[in-house]
This record gives sequence, C-alpha cells and structure tokens, in this order.
Amino acid sequence: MDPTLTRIAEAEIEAEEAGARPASPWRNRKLVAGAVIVGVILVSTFIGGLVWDTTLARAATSPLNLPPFWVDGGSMDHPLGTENSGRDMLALIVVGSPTTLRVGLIVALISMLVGVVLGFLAGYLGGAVDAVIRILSDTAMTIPTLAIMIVIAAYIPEMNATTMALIIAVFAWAGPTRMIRAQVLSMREQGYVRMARLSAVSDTEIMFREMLPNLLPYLAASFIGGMSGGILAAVGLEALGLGPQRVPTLGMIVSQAIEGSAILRGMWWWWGFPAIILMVIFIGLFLIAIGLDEIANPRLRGART
Amino acid sequence: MPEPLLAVRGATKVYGKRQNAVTALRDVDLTIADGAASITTIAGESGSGKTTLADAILGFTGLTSGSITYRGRDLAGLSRRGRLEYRREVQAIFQDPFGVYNPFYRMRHIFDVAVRRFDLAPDKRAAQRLVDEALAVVGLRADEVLDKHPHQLSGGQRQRMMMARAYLLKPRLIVADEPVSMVDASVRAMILDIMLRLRDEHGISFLYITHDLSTAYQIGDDICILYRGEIVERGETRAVIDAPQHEYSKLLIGSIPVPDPEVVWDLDAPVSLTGESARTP
Repeated sequence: MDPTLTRIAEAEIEAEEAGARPASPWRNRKLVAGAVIVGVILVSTFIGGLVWDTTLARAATSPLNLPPFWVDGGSMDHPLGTENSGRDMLALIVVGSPTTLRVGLIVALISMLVGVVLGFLAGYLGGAVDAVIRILSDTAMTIPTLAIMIVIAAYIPEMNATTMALIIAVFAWAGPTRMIRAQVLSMREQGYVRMARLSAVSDTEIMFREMLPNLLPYLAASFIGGMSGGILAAVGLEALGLGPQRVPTLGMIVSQAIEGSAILRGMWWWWGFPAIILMVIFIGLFLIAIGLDEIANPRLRGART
Repeated sequence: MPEPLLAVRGATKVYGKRQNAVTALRDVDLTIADGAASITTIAGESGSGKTTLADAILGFTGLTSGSITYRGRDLAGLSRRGRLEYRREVQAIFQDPFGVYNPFYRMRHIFDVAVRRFDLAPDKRAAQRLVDEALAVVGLRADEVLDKHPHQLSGGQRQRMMMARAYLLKPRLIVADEPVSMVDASVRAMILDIMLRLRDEHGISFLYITHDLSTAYQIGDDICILYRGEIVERGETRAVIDAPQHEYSKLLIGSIPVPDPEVVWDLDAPVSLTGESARTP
C-alpha cells in the first residue's frame, strides 16, 4: 500500500482519538453546489407543474408570438411569452425539463448497468471473455455515433422520449465498460481479493461484494457523466428534428425555434429560455461529476476544496 | 512410507513465451510430512521464485508442468467439494497486512465471510465464540478490533488478525509468505511466537517463506534454499545455516549482519556467485 495513504490513515486515527470527526469527503463544495442546482431545476419544474396549467404546452392554446411579460406587448397570462403555434413557453419548459432529465437518466442507467456487468466480466475473468468484450466496446467507440443514430431515428415512426433514450444507450455503454474494466484490472491484484479467494468466495461474490463497493464513488461520477452525455446526444438529435414530436423536450423547443426562424424574427425568448435551462442542467451535472471524481481520487482534491 | 501432507513434484513455472520466457520455478520438489507439525522454511532472494511457489500451492497460479498433491490427491483434479476442503485445510498469511483487508468493510468481515463460506458455526452465537477464541490465540480482544475499519488498526494488529482468521479455520498447513517483513521488530517477535504456538499447541504446520535467514534459524525445522527457481540446498535448518554446502547458500548466509560492533561489515565482499565466496560466519 502507498505509504502516504498509511499516513493519511494514521492522521485520521489521531483526529478521531482527539474527539474530532474527520470531515466527510462527501461534503465536497462542488458536489453540493451541483446537487443544489439540479435539485432546484427538478423542484421548480415539479412545483411549476402543480401551479401552472400544463395543457398550455399544446399547440393553439394561447395567442401566437407573445413576448415575455416585461417586454412591451407581453402579459402576465403568459409570463415567458408564447411561440408561433400558440404554445405557452412556461408550460413548455415545465413539461420539457423533466423529460429531458429523464432521457439522461435512462441513458445513464442502461449504459452503467451494461458497463458494470461487461467491465467486471472482462477485467476479472480476462482471457477470451476479455478479448470479445474489448473488441465489441472498441468497435462501438469508433462508430460515428451521431450518424448511426440519425439513421436509426429516421426509421422509427413514432418517437417518444424513452425510445430515443434507448437508441442513445445502444452506443453509450462502451465508455463505462472500458473504464470499469481498467479499474477492475488493477483491483483484482489487491490483497483482499486474494483473501476472499482463500475463503472460497465465488467469483460473482468477489466481483460484486468485495470489489464493487470500492468502486462506488467512481461509478457515481461516471453515472452523472453518462447522464449529461445522454442529454447532450438527445438535444443533438432533437435539434436535428429527429426527436419526439408530441412530448415537449428542451431540445425539441430549440429545434422548433430554429424551424420557425426565431432568431431572424427576434423571438429570443423562444430559444433562449430552453437554452438557459439546458446550460444550468449541464453546469449542475458537471459540478456533481467533478465533485464525485474528487471523492474517488483524493489526489485531485486541491489544497482545500 | 506414509502419505505426505503436501507433495510438490517437478514443479516448473514459465512466465511469458519464447524469447521473453522467464522460468520462475525449475523442477522443484518439496514434501511436507503428515504427522508431527513442522515449520518448513523456503528461503531465497527476491525473484528466486518463493512467491510463485506459494501461489502455486495456494492455487492462485497454475504450473507449467509438475504436480502438487495434498494427501495424495492432485490439486488440479479436485472436485468442487474437494477444493473447498483444501481451502479450509491450507490457509495463508501474506506479507502486506494493509491490502488484505477490504477498506469498505469493518474488520469482522473477513471472519464473517470465512464462517459463512466454510459453514463453521450453526448460529451467530456459536460463530462469535469461535471468533473470540481465535482472537484470544493471537492476544486480541474482539470488542477492541472487530468493529473497527482496517485503517484504524496498527500493522501488528492487522497481521495478528490475519493469523486469527487462519487459525479460525483450524487448517493443517499455513503458507506464510514473508509474514514479518513489513512489521517492526516487536511485532515480528510476537508473530513468530504465535507461529511456534500454533505449531506446538494446535498441530498446524507452516510453510514459512522468507528472505530473512535469522528468523528461519529461530523457528524453522527444515529449510530449502531457493535460487533462480531451483532448490539448491535443503536439510535441517541449523545444520544448513551452520555449514552451508552450496555456493549460493554460503553467500546468502554470509550476508546476515552480525550484531557485534567489533565485526566490521565488509563492504567489499563480492555480491555475485562468480567471485570468491563471501565471508562465512
């Protein structure tokens, strides 16, 4: 074991003996800030869904092309304005943001699940299993994902948010698989793995009860990374007009703003509000991911975070 | 001739292929007799194949050729049940008392796993009694150590917990791979003392793997000197160390520091086998 780690461990013992609890690594500022940002988006869209009439997200429920209320011609009936087919911007955002987050969540869940299973099998069992999984994931990584996704998306007649998430997930598992495989390769030489084998512990149990818990912060960081990657891919597809057409998502609003020449017509609120929400979501997820990364790799922690 | 407890015959291990091939073990024979418990030392420098031999005996690595039999049964052909039994009867203590504990769990985890996998106790209370007894053998108290995390204990406590875990399984043989090379002098004496007690009072044989001949001299019954994957000399420990025959054994034994301020450490002594033999004690 790394002697510096021993020193850290000794310092922690001393701190505990002195009666002071060691500061929890989970109280990382970046992690907390990111979690608060994403939490605020989730809570405010949830509250928005309760107090605002979400049926206004359907076409022709409101007057066309109204600006936000603080601009001349705007009204408090539609505080964030409306777009050119008579949909209320606030209702669109209230309905669209959670859908966009859900797409990210599904992509991250599937890609991490596949990544954990394949990464552990490849890293721990090695040999032929490793060779096959490595070839598959390397191939998946070299495929120009967006091009293939466009082709697949074009073939699907009725696209909804879940279908789109599944299409993205088909290409998103390779990264986590390779990352987890590399971690497992170094972990399986650890003394506690040999110890578990001496206790006749089965391979499955060694992988998932001995090794997996030590990877949790790592997996959490890569889960959040997968989530923002999934949202990014979804917004890309939607901006190209290949997203779900009936359920509003943030990317779809932007896509329709482009089709409706919002920029030329000076309707900045049409593309501006969803873009801001997307940016805030990305910043929040990014902060969570680097916060978790610092917890997983103490070396990344600065002098004092 | 009675069946030996453990017999290694013609063990050869080659890592890599063709030009890059490294022979870690070459035609090694080793027997540990059944009956009276004994401590057999395998001594040699780094890279002499000591750890490869230990790994092969523990089933962590396969042999290129040769066989290892436990009570007459070849390890390679053991059934599932046979392997479980072998695991229980042949245990190990490793060099590094830090890495062998999973940092995610409390110390009791290694005992819980062992009790569960080998079905040692019918219920929790019986299991706790067994663990208490095993800890008592190494001079630790359950309430002081079991609910701690590994980093909260000292190296010596951790190494003694390893021995308690091995003892818990009541094995016939413990492979001790450099058990005292990462702990300080007082803990070293304690660990060696525990090994002697396990041999004398509990009938557990040891395969003591070390580069440190002075501890082998203290506790070992038989010794095998391993050099570049081959056993170059074997015999009764004191006889071998007092009168080594092979050039390499002489060199190895000559390099034990003498705790006498009058004796000047000979820095010019040849360190390779090609030169004249180094100082003999």
